[in-house]
This record gives sequence, structure tokens and C-alpha cells, in this order.
Amino acid sequence: MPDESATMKPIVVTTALLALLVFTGSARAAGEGEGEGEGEGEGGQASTALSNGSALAAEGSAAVLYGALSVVAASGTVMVQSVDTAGDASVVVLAGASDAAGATVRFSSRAARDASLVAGASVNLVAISTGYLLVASGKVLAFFPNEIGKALNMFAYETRILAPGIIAQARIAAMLASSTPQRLHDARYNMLAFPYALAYQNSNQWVLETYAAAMSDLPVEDRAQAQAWRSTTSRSSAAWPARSTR
Amino acid sequence: MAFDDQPFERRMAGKIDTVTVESVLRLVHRRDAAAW
Repeated sequence: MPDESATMKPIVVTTALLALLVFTGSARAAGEGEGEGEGEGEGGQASTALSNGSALAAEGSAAVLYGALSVVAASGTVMVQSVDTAGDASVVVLAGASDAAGATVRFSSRAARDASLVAGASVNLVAISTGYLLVASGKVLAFFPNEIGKALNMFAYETRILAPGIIAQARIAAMLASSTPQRLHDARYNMLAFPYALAYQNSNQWVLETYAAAMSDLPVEDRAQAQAWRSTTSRSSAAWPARSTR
Repeated sequence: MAFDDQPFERRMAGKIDTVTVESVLRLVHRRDAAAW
């Protein structure tokens, strides 16, 4: 019977490497399938409102269950039609000025309670570039991010685990046993590091450059060589991945 | 956060490029059909 521990080891090692695809900030794609290859990326600037709102969103406090906030916000005055609280969550039905404008949202019951949110209360739905803020009595109750807001959520904690194919596993395991990953780590961290430069590095970039070092047929001893790996393969299959926002 | 390594014209156009979780996964899947 084969030694299973020897067989499993590379899988554990490589999974550990690629499990490092954890990012806070612009980790989330603005829209999967939007373009491929160079010149794309994501990231951007976070406003105070976004940061505050993201903190709420990070608590899982805000979600649109039904309806479109854009329609409600465009209708002008927004009233609370009903508030149903169950456990830690409150489901609030918002009604706009017209009959067609309505949305059902959910956020923490604490937020609803703190704002004394009751049926008949008037609230404001403020549109910002990254989503909508629900404001009552001058207090932001919840942030509902749009796609840009989701992409820029500074508080998002996202994890992906990917198991490479067996050939890639062997290459990654061999590379991890060397000092190359340490050399490829740059202490000048920047969440929005440019993918094709050496000034900074974000965490995903380290994973990517480490992967490049493992997969490159040429020796990779530093970050420049890891980034040069893309030029040794076709654009369609190995263009340095990035996302952009606008 | 710093933006000074981003290409100036793209930065002025509001386009910030960076490596993301999804983009890494997409690249690995493109290169390695056996990845799952």
C-alpha cells in the first residue's frame, strides 16, 4: 500500500500557499468576466462614508431583500412602512413617494432599535458613488453597497482555497522548500500595489509572484523575474491578472 | 495606501490596477486545467 502521508503532503503544502488568497479591501471583483488581461484592475479610493458604511456591512447589518433602492431613492421622500424584528435582524419595508417605489431591507435590530425606527418614520436614502446610505435622524443606519461599493469594501474578509493540479503541486512544493518565497516577499505593503511594478506589494501579489516562480521554466530569484514570467507565456494565458475600477 | 506606482494617465482616469483574489484564481484556472 502506498505511503499516503507522502502523497498528501504536497497537497497540504500547496493548499496552504493558495489559501493565502485572502485579502481585505479591493479583493472582491467589481464584476466577474469584465475583460481579461493587462490594463484591468480594481481598487480605488474609499470615502469616510464608505468606510463607515462598510463597517456596518461587515457586521452583516444591511442587505436588500426585495426591490431596488435606486427607484426608492429617486422617488424622493422615503417612509418606513413596517418594521419586523426577529432575533438580531430587522426587516424594514421602505416606501417611496410613488406606489411603484418600494424596497425591503434587512439590517441589525440594534441599528433599528437605536434609531427608534418604527412604521411611519421618515428616513433618507442617500445615494453615493458606492451605494446607498440609510439615514434616520441624522444617523447612518445602514450602508447598502452597489457593485463598486462591494469591490471597495475595506472590511471584506474573503477567502478562496484552490487546489492546483498535481503537476503544479509538485512544482509549488519544491519551490516552497527553497528560500525563493521569502525573497519574493516585499515589506513595502500597499493594498493597491500596481501589478507590474516593484514599489510595493499586496498579499495577493505575493501569492501570484510565488506561483509564477513555481511555474516559470526560467529561474526566478526576485520579483522582477517573477513579473517577467508573463512575457514568457502568451498574453491570453498568462497576462498578469488585475482589476481596475473607475 | 499609495497610488504613486500606478500609471499616471490611468490613475487620472480613475483606474487603479491591483492584483485581487479573483484575478489570481482566474489566472491559475486559465493556466492549470487540473486545478479545482
